[in-house]
Amino acid sequence: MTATPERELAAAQTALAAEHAAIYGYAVVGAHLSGDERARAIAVYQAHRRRRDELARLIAAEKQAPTPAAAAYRLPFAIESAQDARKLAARLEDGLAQAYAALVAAGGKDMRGLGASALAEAAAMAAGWRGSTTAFPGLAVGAGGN
Amino acid sequence: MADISRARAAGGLQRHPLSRRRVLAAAGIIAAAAVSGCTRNSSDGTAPDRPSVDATARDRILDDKAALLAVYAATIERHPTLRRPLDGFVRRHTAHIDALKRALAATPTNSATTTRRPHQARIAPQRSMAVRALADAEQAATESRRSVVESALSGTFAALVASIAACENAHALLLRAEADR
Repeated sequence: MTATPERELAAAQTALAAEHAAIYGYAVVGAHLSGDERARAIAVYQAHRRRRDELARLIAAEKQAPTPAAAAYRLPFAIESAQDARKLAARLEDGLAQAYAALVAAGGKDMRGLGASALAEAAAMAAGWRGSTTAFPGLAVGAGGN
Repeated sequence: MADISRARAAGGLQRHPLSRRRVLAAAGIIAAAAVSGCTRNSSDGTAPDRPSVDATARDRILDDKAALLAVYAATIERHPTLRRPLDGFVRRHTAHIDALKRALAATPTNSATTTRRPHQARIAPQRSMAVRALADAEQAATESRRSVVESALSGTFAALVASIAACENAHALLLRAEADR
């Protein structure tokens, strides 16, 4: 696949949309956790806000309108416990990993660097919430090794 | 309110179906290409006569992986109770090796992917220190992938290496947790 400005920009917009969703989701996650886990959720929430702003700046620099956040997002399942919250957090990071893997595939050197860093962070975060990882975070490679 | 998505993209949160399809399509393309070994070997799309930059990088990662697996094997030999906790880590590295060998299939690998096992004396006698050393090795591995991702000719190969690096980063975190247990 050849990196083009159009593909790179589209992938950056998709990553931005995933960050918007993650920010919304982490607000829910944090509300259902306590102590150290709540502090971690808040720190991750802040990190995602910074990443969102970074992506929006890069997209705006290309004279494109950054994808806005939705007013609200429907959750994939009911969050009624700390266990549900951890599961949602891991799912949010999985979604981000997919978006950033696509950004690496579509991006030029600079965008690849950003995508790779964000993908690595998402994989570590998901592992932290879930206690395990997959062999290929962000990719739909059915190579097992979970 | 935005629609439900059963997709994992955006963590199952979705603002509209088109966005979901776009993410899935992108991920699907990556996966299919990663499995088939589809890649662009040069800027004009033709196969070069000599091994591409990507194939050279792939062989270097395969050598790294062989060395890493050798350290895992030596660690398990020194601390047999770690066999079970480390089993998933070993399997994921093996999956990486398989995927790397499939990638860039047009350029056969020159890597032997066999490395002599480090002498047991090099493995820390304390379980926690041995696991922490593995975490450090995983951290070094993930950091070393960055330049490959940035300089790869093929976006597909770059994404595969970035994903492998992400797994290694997660490994480092999980191993530190295991060391502290």
